[in-house]
Amino acid sequence: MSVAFTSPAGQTWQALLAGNTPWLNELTLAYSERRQAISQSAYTPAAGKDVQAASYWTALQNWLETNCTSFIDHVNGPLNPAGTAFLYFTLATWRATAGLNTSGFRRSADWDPAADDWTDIVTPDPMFTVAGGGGFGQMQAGDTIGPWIFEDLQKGFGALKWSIETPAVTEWKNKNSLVEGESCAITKSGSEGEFEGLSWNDGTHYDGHHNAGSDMHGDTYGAEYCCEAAINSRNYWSWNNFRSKVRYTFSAKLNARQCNIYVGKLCPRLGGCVGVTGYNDIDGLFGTEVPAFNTDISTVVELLESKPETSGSVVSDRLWIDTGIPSSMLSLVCPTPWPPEGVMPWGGRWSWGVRANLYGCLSKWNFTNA
Amino acid sequence: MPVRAKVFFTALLRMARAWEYLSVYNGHVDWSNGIPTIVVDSAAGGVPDTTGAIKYQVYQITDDTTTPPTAGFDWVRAHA
Repeated sequence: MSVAFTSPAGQTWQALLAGNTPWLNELTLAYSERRQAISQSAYTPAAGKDVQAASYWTALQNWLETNCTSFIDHVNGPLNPAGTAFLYFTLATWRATAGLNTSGFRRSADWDPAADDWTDIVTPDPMFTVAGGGGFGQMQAGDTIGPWIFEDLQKGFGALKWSIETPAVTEWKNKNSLVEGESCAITKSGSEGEFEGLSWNDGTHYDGHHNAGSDMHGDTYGAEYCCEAAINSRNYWSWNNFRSKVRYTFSAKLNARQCNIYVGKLCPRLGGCVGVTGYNDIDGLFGTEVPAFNTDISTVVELLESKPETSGSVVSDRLWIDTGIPSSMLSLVCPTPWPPEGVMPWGGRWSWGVRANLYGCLSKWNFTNA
Repeated sequence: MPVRAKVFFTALLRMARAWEYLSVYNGHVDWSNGIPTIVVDSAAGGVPDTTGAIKYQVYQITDDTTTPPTAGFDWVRAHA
């Protein structure tokens, strides 16, 4: 569990800056850990680092203001209000969460400890507003390297807690049975029988997907996980059972984190989950369908699974699954109970199931200091 | 007093102040042209990283005349 940064309050500059102080060491480590959390290199300062140079501090401040938007807003997130994507920090929301002034880091060249205690941020101490001596933003030559510099950096790093990991390895397999003919019953039994005997194929997740008849080709769009049945009776019967499965491996990290796997789920065909063609969580992997999801093709992002905290590699195999033949599990029967040819505006095409793509591992980091 | 004596006296005062406030950490003070520079000893430990000891240095104490009155110590100003 992360521990609090060491408070710089009440310290002399010798204590804060001279040598290998806990304040400098903690900031260095916090910077390095968070860099690695978003797949940047580790940071190790060169021996004899000049911490009196403004550039030393602006490097940290600039990194925070530039890269805070690569971290997830853990206060208002992790998803946006529509539930369609992750919610990342903006510069403004990161400052608010960190407790920084809305204009940025405090800076002052005119500090009188007898008159100012430097601790007020929202209504800043006069030392931060005095003309020619104070202000907000990144450090400038001539600024005092006071405890507020440390405190603002600590707050800035401390607010960065969650980020998104992408998998180091993605394994994907599929199997697909399409049988066509003039009889609904024959194509149904043919597809279900064939599907049961199929082996898993390697490939990419855009291969051989959802091709129940020529009319359906326009519906092909990729997904990493898919479990669906599709039937076409416009010209003749086409019966399609399709499955793809996927497994993700996330690499080991410096810090422990709890990896939460989020996926975006999609309707089984373009045009949305409408009418008798609809979302159906055949494998029972996902959460409750939301009304909006059934009326358009918007992606709904949801938590698939939470892994125990570890710094080691993480394998997510929940979508690495095969529970059976989709159309059998849906209890689809012939003759069709669905509207006859031409009644539905798109013709006699129907599909059921669900598709899903990885949105990432939401990593809740156990940084050394926060 | 004579110029040379004044320079010597100022330097002596600065040295005294520096030793008073700088002797608590892992280093020593070098003097060059009457300006104290803190040098952190290389064997004094380091941040937890994979490459070994890392040192931080503050090179020069702020000119006293530009430092606001404090509760007994000067503060370091950033240089360019």
